[in-house]
Amino acid sequence: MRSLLANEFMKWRRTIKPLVALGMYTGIIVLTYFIVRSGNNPGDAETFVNYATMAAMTFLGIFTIVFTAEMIGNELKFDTLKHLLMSPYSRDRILLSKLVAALLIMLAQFVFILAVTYGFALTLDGELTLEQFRNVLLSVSSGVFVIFLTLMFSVVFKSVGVVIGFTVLANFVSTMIGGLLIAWKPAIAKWIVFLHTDLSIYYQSPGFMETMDVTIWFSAFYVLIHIVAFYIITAFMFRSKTFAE
Amino acid sequence: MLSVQNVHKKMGQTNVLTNVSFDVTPGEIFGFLGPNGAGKTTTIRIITGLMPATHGKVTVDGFDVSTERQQALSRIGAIVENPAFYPYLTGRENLIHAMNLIPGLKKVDLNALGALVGLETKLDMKVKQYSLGMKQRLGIARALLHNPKVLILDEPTNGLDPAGIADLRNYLRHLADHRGIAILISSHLLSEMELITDRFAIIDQGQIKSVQGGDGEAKTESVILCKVGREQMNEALDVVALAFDDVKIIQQSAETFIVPRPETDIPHLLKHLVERDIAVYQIGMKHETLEEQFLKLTKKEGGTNNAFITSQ
Repeated sequence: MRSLLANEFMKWRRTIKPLVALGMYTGIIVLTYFIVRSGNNPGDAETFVNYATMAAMTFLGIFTIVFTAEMIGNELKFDTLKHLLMSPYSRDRILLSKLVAALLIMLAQFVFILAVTYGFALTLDGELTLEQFRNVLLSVSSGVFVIFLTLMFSVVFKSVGVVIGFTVLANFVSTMIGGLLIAWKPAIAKWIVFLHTDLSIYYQSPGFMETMDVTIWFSAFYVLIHIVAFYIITAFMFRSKTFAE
Repeated sequence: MLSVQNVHKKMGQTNVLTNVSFDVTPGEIFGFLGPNGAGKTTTIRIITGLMPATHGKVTVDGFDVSTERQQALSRIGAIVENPAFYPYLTGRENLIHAMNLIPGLKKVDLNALGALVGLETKLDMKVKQYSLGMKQRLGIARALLHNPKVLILDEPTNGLDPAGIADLRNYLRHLADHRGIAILISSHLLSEMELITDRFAIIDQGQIKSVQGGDGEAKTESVILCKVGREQMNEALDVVALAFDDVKIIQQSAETFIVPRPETDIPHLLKHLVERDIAVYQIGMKHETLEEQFLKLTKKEGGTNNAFITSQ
């Protein structure tokens, strides 16, 4: 398993995209820093961390979709998947290595975002609370969900572009419809999983989830059921498809 | 070493393979010939575990590919269809990637392996800068990385220049003779197959039509070819018919005909022709090429052959 993970990391880090991603996280955090500091009434460290992580996490979500989609999509694009599948390792293990690599890559970027954000926050006035740190940590749940969803689309569609498009569309449309339903039919809205993926919302906008009469445990469990289901579908398809041209 | 027994593959309502059986022994180079869509690649996909067979069994060194996957596949090195690599990685990194796909593989001297396939100075170049021939060489290096007992090469001479093809031929022969590797080669290049293989199977429409060669048996059939004057052709054919009973004489052109008899019958044939004052301009043995056998065996009922490439 370790050697399969080493392969996934080698393929990821040898492209230009990780550098672009890290550059963009740094850029958006630095931009937020100067915006927060500017003006007659500059914001404090807490305000900066809130805005900087929110902005950087949006980019993290996009890059996570791209990196995960490419894990299987690029194998099909370069016709290298057959070489992976001919190896003595089982298909289940190969798929698991890709999932674990996607999760670790996302978490590594998350740690990078935290490090840069908190590094800049130390130069600002004001206290940084543990509650705020907890909220930032909880927001990573949406990244985990998106990895399972993207991986599932990756075994269905051949094109990386289509996988990215479907994942973004599913996220966007479901969240939009969910947002509308919260106002009119909150009892129905609570069954839309995309409204539960970011657990930090329970602390940042508690009223939003109270309307649907759900708890953080309900959301966590509901998201968990979905990611398990996504993985079972993904594993079944990855095991049974021939991936022949 | 490699045993394919009664393999059957059905896709939808179509029988893609029907009772395909053959064995490749250690140190043997076995050719797998067939026109496009004959079932060559499907067979190779089943052998390499990329696709399950509907029925039948494939074993490598005694291990069943479907039930003892790890043991079976760790004994196979293969290039299926074309050598595919990550273009943004170097040749060396692609080989490291391949090493990581073999459980328990000890450190391999990649420089020595690169030198073996003539890529010693190119291993640190990105694969996107490689020519097709270089990719073929890298593909062979990758297939040999873990000292496999069975080597499967699908169209291995694609993209190689004549010198490269000769090198590859010699190298494969060396691997078979000195390391006892069982080699299965699928190719459309019939002239090359004739030079490389010890035995070969001809597959068409999912069925093995013929397995030939081996045990000193000639790979190709020989016939007597005779050239006479145009005006004496009919008379010559009558003479041959009288000289040999139950022989099907084939007239090739206005001046030549073929008699499917061994070389020892040439004096007998010549004697009869000369006695009847038929001017013989040329007589000798013609070897039926692998290509001719291939065309004969894969000839469709309508009288046409499947399209294929006969040589480079």
